Amino acid sequence: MTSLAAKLTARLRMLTREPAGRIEAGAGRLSASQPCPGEGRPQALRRWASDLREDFMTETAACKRSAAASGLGRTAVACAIVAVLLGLQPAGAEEMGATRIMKAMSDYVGSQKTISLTFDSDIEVVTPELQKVQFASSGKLLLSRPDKLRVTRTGGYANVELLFDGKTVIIYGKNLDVFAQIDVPGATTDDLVDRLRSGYAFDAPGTDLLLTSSFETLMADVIDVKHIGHGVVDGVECEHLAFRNEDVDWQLWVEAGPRPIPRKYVITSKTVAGAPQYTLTIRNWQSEIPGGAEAFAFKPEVAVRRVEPRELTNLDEVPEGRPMGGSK
Amino acid sequence: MVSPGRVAVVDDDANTLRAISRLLRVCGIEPSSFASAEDFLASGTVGRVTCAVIDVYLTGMSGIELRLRLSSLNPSLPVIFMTGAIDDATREQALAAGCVAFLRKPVEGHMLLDAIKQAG
Repeated sequence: MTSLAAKLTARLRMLTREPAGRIEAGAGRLSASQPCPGEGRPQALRRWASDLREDFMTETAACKRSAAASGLGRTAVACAIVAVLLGLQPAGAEEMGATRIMKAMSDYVGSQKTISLTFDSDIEVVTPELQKVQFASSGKLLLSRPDKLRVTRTGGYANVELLFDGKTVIIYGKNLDVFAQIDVPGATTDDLVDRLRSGYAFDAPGTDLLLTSSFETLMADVIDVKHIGHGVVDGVECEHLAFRNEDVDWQLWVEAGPRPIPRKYVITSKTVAGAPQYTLTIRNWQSEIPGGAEAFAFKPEVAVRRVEPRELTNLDEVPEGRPMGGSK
Repeated sequence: MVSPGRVAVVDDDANTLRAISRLLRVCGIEPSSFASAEDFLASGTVGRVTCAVIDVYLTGMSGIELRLRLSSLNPSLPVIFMTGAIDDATREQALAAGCVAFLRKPVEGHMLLDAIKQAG
């Protein structure tokens, strides 16, 4: 329980930007005179409240299991009061079901030594005139844990390949006949996926799904969870899950049955007008396939020029300038 | 088409960073995207960008702190702040630090482009 009290205090301090000592959780109690945490920042408040609910549920479950429940009661009661004041209800079966499916997917995918798949992606841009335009690409991926990855992505404006052999990352602009090499000795595919989120000229948000422990990464900032129900992707029945973060909403379709693999992933950005979406559809998933080191070797079929990573431009699925023709 | 030039975008949310950067790309502006203030400062591009679009609440060094650092590194660099926060105090802090625009999320594309034009 001490950890819960400490977490509450830390979160309050972070949200209100108060120095240590101004806010005390004191045995789990929140002072009635304490202003609403994150006032004016409703998204932060919702996240705090969601965390609180999660902690409350965890702690309550622990109480039930423990013969020493009496020693834990005060903080649990305090948390319950706060939860009621915030209008929260304990997480329902819907939320627990979604979390369970998400964890099952993470565990299953993380246990696969090698993965081969193809994918289609649609990136939506909302123009200043609020016109939605999608840019479509296709690609394939080969992953061999712990430290080998090969991803190709071909779209209307770029043809890109990323190769990682455990020592170096090659980003190869096939349409430009250039490549950049980045040394990453000792890195794993999980490390690389983390780095791909920013800083590299190769954007691949769906690779988060392939992390050894994707559950922890994807659920880290989630403030709302729903098990919408069922859906069918590529003729396969899937569990449809919906999640909310402060800046994005995201949905995941996970294959129903004994092989809980991700089939479709949609990310909606709420911080840009028009809420542009990224849609990834995964196909031809294969596991435990042979993938020798040669499958991750850089062997360009034409003469190529090495450039510095920062010189790699025009490899994005969205081209620079507006290829939208004239208007009538 | 907005006047060309490289615009730095700094936001610690990867999806926001992508969405803002792609909005700029389709409008003919090449973005330099950074997930943190520290990444931007270490990139060696501070002196080469024509404008910086910065989220106020960044993990690590805040957007306001970054603005103050930029004041010494590139005093003439125009800064556009964006934030999901709605309190007056944040706005006053941002304006006091110096910016050509303070945009509330969700960011309206035409407002961002107008601000970049104004900065140029």
